Amino acid sequence: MRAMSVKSYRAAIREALEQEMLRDPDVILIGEDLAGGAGGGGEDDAWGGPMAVTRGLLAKFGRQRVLDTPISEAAFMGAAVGAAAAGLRPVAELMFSDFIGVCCDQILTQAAKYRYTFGGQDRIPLTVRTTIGAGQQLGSQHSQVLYPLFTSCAGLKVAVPATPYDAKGLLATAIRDDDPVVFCEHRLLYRMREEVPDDSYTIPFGEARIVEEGGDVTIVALSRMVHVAAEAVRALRAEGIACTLIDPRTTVPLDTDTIFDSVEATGRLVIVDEAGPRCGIAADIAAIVAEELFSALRAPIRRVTPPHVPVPAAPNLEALYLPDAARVMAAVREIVRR
Amino acid sequence: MITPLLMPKWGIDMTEGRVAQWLAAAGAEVGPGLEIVEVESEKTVGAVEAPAAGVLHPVAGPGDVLPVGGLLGVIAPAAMAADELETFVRGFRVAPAGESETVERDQTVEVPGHALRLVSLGAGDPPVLLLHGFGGDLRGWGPVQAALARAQRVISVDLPAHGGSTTALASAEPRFFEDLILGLLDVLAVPRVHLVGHSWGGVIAWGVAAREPARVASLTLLGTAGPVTPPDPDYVRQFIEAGRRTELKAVLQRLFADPALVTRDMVEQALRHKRIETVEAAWRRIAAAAVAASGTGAAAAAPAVPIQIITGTEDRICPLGADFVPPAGVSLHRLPGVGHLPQLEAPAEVASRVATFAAAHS
Repeated sequence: MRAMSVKSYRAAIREALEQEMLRDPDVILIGEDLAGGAGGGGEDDAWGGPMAVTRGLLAKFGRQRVLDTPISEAAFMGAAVGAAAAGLRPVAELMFSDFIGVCCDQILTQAAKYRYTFGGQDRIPLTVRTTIGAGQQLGSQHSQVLYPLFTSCAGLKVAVPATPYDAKGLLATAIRDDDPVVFCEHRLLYRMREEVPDDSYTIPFGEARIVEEGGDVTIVALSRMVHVAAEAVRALRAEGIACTLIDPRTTVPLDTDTIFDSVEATGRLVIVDEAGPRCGIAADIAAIVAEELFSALRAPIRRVTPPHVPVPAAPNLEALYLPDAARVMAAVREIVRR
Repeated sequence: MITPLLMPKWGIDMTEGRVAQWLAAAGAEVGPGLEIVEVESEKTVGAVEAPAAGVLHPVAGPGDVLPVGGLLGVIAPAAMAADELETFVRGFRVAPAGESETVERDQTVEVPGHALRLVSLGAGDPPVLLLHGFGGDLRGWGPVQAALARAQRVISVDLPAHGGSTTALASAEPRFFEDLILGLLDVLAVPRVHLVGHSWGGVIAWGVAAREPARVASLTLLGTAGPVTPPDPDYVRQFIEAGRRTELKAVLQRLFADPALVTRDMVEQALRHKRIETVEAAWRRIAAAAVAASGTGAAAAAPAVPIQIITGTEDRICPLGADFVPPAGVSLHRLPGVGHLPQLEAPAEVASRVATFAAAHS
């Protein structure tokens, strides 16, 4: 009966879903295979969605609140937007962020713009849970990190949790938020474990986490790249380079204050992101800092991202594609020497 | 004041660690929160933060393997004489480990209706029981508990809705917490105890001593003079309301004479705890009950046990002004340049005052 226990990222997300469903009867889940076998010959609740996140929730909340859908993102995302407009608080699961292509209108054009279009008379309290990231040899169509797309779309909020603790708190905030939120889960983090409070808590959007503090350089990293950057920070410490590592946790809203405060102190910025180099979060943050704090910079801003190519499926090429600690260290060393 | 820098214990399995490298040089000025030495255990590599401000004097060198609690180095004021440092280092003994009751370990103790986390260190009765203040937890006693444990058993406990204890509260009234502490002593089969309470924890300790003076060998109050001195209600309100990191940092800085002592970790840990909704709800009840109960004067008669008060001259939460006169027979120690948390700003002095007082009244 302890207040804290070790939970995986997956279990932390499931716990947030369960607690929000207990808290508010308007919260429903909708997506492919969430009920695991319902309607077919299979066993109900056999796996809990393709990522096994919602397992057990069908048994607890029943078919009225855990909805299995056909394989049509256009249909069920549209239904979720409509349910939100009608007063429910749906959590829709988009299996891979790559599948946004078939429900762009529902999310980017309808959900994101509804409140604005109707002068705030109505809101879309929708949460879209989706998965991102390379590293599992799933190929170019199931490995993209598409939160820059969501970030660029005015009217959406975007959360990119890097830890189990952040995942649980940010998801509770997302579900209670009256605006549409895209919640990006990195598949390689599902098994990460740490101590997480058992009771419910929220983490405000737009508040970065300062992972490490050091005076020589500021590193901003998101999602799984926070852990890659943290590995680099530990190794750089042995070389006598002290880094501040910032995880923004949400890209909309973006906690520019925390980034600015740190860059003002260090004068150096490296951004590490698994999204690509063009029109990505790294480009975005680099532009904002260059515009606002140019005089504080003592060296050029460096971005560490994959190249602008589709994600390769071959394991050796995929490993080459992804940023690693060595690349982060090289970028830091290059600008710290200046 | 010399602060020992000890080999940390990262997890229950860790018994020893190896010094990988010093991250700060001998003679460097260091401060709390600064990572000064990198240590490797069987399972992990991590940095140890300076526990206090001062000049660093490494004792162990890279590659040295030390038991948990072993002396990595010391931190002392720049003016500290070299022979005094040498005497401290030579006289240092690692707190005995190996026996289950002397090893640091959090345990959970069931007191009817509540599961309380506690850490018990050292051996020798009657033990010292450390009660943290409102919004704190047992980790705040780290340096004081480690220092006291060399001579006797020292127990620190998380009160309900704090630290690792359960959050449910049957009541938020002072009497409820007093009952809980008496219940804890029964569960631990401790007939007599030296109570040390900080701030709100001191008010609870006072109530326990007033009700059961025979069970309290001595009472040390830190940052409070008991229920007659109310805390700043603005501070309590701001502490509860602060929802974001930057807000909470500014609030926590008021606790210290030196605001630089508020580390990132301290803010993050406090924020993580207060964001738990059941905790926040419990804290609102406790604060309301504590403010209502303090300053009433009803409890002004001091408990019939030996009492000492330790207060910082820079305490902005519960200041005892120059005109404050302690009750008859109660000794008052004012620590210059210290705020509301003497156990963190002057741990060696607090430990030594508690040890001396306990020895005189055992």
